[in-house]
Amino acid sequence: METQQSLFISSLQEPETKEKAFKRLVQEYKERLYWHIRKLVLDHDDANDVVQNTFIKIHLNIDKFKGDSSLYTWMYRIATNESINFINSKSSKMGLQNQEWIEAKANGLKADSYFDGDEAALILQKIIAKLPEKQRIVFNMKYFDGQTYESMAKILDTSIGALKASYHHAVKKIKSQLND
Amino acid sequence: MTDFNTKNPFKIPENYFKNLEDSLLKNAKSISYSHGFTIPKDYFNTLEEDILHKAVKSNSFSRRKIAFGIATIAATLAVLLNLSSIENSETIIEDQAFNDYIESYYLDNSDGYEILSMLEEIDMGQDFEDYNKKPK
Repeated sequence: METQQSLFISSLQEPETKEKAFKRLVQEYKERLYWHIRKLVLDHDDANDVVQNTFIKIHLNIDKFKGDSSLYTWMYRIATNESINFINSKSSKMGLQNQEWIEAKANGLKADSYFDGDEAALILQKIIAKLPEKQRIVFNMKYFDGQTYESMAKILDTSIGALKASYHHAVKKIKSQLND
Repeated sequence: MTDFNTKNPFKIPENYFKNLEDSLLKNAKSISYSHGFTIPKDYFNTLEEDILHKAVKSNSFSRRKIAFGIATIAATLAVLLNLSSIENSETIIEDQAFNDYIESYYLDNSDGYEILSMLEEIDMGQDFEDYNKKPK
């Protein structure tokens, strides 16, 4: 018996029903994917570019989706990769390392009209920006998105043990910086 | 006998589920915004339109790319086929010219005995058989 998800995937892959199903997909997932991306790239305009690129990629590649993971896991993975590629591209164009570029963005958050956090939130974002890329992604997904290690393992194609280690190190560094 | 299936023994406070829903939504919102990031007003409404518009545009662009690719391959194949048929006819002409040259060389430079010795025995045997079969 086909599940609701597999029926939805079929409608996304059938030419006659694709556009209608894709519209529903966008309605359903745009906010979740946007916020995941936003926490990685920090800036709203950048997140806007990445989320649109993500959905275009989803639209172009949905026919290749084999269903070996959930649809959301697959889309989340695309969003994560698009965010990383975006950061790579932007930092490379400016002659910076990825982390340097992200730290510069975090330092500019106070003046950002789309940042409404208090001093504590600002400090936290600056500290998160100093984390290595993997730790930053894992921390954002675990702490802010409330993802489980199991779902993160599928999205990031990393073992649960490695994810736990990443999160542990991230929390340790953040606590140490906050105490300083 | 009391019907345990139809009578729920547990009670809940008045308006519990309504309050639960409000509380859950409030918590969800606070989780989303504790990082401090905000968005322009009505952003998610316009985002949907932008995505759908771009997705349709990129789909028709990729279809045109495929059609152009097929046309290019077909044109290339047509050119290659034409070239190879020209080459083949040239090769045949060249081979024929070479054969004619060899033939004329031997005819001009060899006497009858030398030409005869070049023929294989079986060919000679066949030639004589055919000769013998011919009506006299």
